[in-house]
Amino acid sequence: MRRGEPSDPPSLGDVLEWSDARQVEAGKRRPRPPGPRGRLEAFAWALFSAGGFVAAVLLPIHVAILGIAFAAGWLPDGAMSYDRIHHLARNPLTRLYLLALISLPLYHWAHRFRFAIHHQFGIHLKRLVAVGCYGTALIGTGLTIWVLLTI
Amino acid sequence: MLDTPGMVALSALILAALLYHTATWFRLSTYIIVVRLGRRTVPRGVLLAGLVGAWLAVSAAVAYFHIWF
Repeated sequence: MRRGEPSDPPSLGDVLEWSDARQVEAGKRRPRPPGPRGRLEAFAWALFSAGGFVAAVLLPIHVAILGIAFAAGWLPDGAMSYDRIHHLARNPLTRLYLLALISLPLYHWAHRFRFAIHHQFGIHLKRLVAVGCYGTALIGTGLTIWVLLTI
Repeated sequence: MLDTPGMVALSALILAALLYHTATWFRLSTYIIVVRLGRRTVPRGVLLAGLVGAWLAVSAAVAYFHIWF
């Protein structure tokens, strides 16, 4: 699958291979849909990529600390005390960090799950699926901002 | 609430899924990211080692701020 069009329906892997095979000329932009749709598509892929890196690099250590180490009693006394964590979470830099940590993987999920619905589940209600996926991510971002501003 | 057996089991499941994502995402990234040094491109193996190294360093920094800072 290095050349030519992806199979129908294509898997995400096919799409990536296909776009990889088309991106051959150095210094030349890869063609994409013109106008606002193309920009939105590129923006969705950018969020997908950013969310993928956040989920891969940052989330495992957080789950390991909060989900495993805390329950196992491996953490020093008072490390997870309310006052300490509250003080840490109220720092503006921590709030920005938490916003990225929580919301970016939602857009990664939204973009990936949208294609999963189309290609793995065979449902093709494009507009409804897109609104449902990105809408869920937007709601999650809104809830995150609300919680971060009120803690 | 986080120290109940059910939550620990759920966390272990989530952690396993996350580590699988980390492995597949880094592997995928070595195909997409192209780092050029002069006329040479950095081999995929070196790129993967760099990603794993960065991941360990970032995880250590997060653990430091989360637990000891």
